[in-house]
Amino acid sequence: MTTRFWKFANPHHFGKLVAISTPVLWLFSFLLLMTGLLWGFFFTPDDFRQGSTVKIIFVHVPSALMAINCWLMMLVSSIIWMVRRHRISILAAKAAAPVGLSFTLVALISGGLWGQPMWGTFWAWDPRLTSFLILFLHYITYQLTWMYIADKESAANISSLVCLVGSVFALLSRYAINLWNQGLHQGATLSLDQETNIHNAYYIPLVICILGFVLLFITLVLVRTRTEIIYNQIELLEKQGRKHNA
Amino acid sequence: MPDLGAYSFFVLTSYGITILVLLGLCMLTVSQYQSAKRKLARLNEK
Repeated sequence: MTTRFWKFANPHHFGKLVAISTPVLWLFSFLLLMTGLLWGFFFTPDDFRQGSTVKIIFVHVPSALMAINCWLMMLVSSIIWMVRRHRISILAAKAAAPVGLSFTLVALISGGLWGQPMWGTFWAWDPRLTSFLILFLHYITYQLTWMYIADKESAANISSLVCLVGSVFALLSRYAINLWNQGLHQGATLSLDQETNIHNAYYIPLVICILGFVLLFITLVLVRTRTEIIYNQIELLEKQGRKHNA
Repeated sequence: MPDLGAYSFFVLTSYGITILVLLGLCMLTVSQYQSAKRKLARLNEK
């Protein structure tokens, strides 16, 4: 099993995996997202307290969940890079960063748009909101590291360190509500270790939306990692060409 | 269209921004992949 996993550290095998899996992944992520979002928007009732703003849950919760999980995936990839020096693992982390950044942005904006009518403000320096903003800033730092450090090896090492530091805030975003029982943000909507505190009318479309976001994330990361591998091959060919011409 | 009442701006804006960001990300990802593939093919031909 482990050997089969490491097989995909080979760019050729990874390319094959992407070519086979992505058409199916695109289709299922699109179908799940369409079903979940349309169901959530059109066919769920208003909440007795929050009114129609409860519909924001179908975009806010999945994007926030994936923003944190994306960083944790980048953390695992970065650790693999630091320990085993597998180039594809660091390219996967690099490929995931813009996806995570986009999810974080969506979570922050949709959270503000939900907060204004419910709390009376777009923003509050609440533990979860603040740690999420710091996570967003870490995503930007991570992107900048790759953009502005010319040497790929150094960029990979420094970005892995940024990832390690940022993971503290990713975990804080996840557990801030349990650590500090204060602030405006409510407790977890879904939890694996507790009873769910959401009505079935919202639960099923929400789970469908989350699955859609997860599949979309996997699809995007696979395609983007493949693109990064191709960029590396292009760079190598161009170097060889320059040597040949000289 | 469901009746969103006084909160329609907040609900519609959050859905609109989400769809826009996700669509943009998907289009960017696919276009970068296609252009990288084309460039690699051109280099291999040389």
